[in-house]
Amino acid sequence: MKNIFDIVFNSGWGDMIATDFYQSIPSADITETDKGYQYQIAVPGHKKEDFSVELDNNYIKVSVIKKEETRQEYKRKEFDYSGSSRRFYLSDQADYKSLKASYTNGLLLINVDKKTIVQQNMQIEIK
Amino acid sequence: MNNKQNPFDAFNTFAPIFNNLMHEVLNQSTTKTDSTETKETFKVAAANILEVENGYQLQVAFPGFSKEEVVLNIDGDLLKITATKTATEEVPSVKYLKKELDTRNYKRVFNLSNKIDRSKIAAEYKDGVLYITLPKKDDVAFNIEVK
Repeated sequence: MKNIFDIVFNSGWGDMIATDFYQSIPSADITETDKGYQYQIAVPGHKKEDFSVELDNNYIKVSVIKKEETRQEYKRKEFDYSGSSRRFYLSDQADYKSLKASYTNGLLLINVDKKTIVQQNMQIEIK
Repeated sequence: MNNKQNPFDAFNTFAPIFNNLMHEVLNQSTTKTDSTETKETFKVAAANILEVENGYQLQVAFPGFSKEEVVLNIDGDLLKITATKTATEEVPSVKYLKKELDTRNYKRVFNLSNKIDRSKIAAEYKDGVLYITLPKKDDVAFNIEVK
């Protein structure tokens, strides 16, 4: 946390606005088809090794590991997803065993199939 | 001495709202010639600017775009970056449960300072981020002889 003195006297207000408010929670699209669900999570600028995807009580938890603090001189900072995490609800209809994740072009894709409901044709015996 | 530079010295960066206004201005001048052109909407791409050795690094985020869809253009003092998705047909069987990403068009315009050596600008696209290196011109330091 910056000291208020530093903020006021050592930097222009522009600096503060330019570096202190940035996007850190990844945005996401969730789509549903007959077959399953797809989660598209926008986390540009990472490697696939930076992610952890966990399943916790009907929630998919996506975490981005914190990058080691290398001193970087930001003149302007509008995005930094390092160290962030977000939970997404996983429908009861989803078959969690089919969860698959991949990372391409800054987009983390999680696919999950719907449970196949075994349609049983039952003859009820009349006693 | 306070060594901290005002970021606006080296760059004229525009806050997203200004960026949009700027596009409005730019669009107006170009659309006059072609009245049939439909007005396109762009989302302003998020950008980081870092001070690195001998210059700056600009990082512009285009999540979900491939290298081929990202175009970097330098026109005079303007550095323009656009990313356009080739129109994908809406599949009716796909239902959106959450829609936060705007994956059609991105645009960002920066004003290049004359301290930047344009001939040495380099760009690399990796993991949804366009990394642009903007080297400063070599400082020519000289003393003026007092006669």
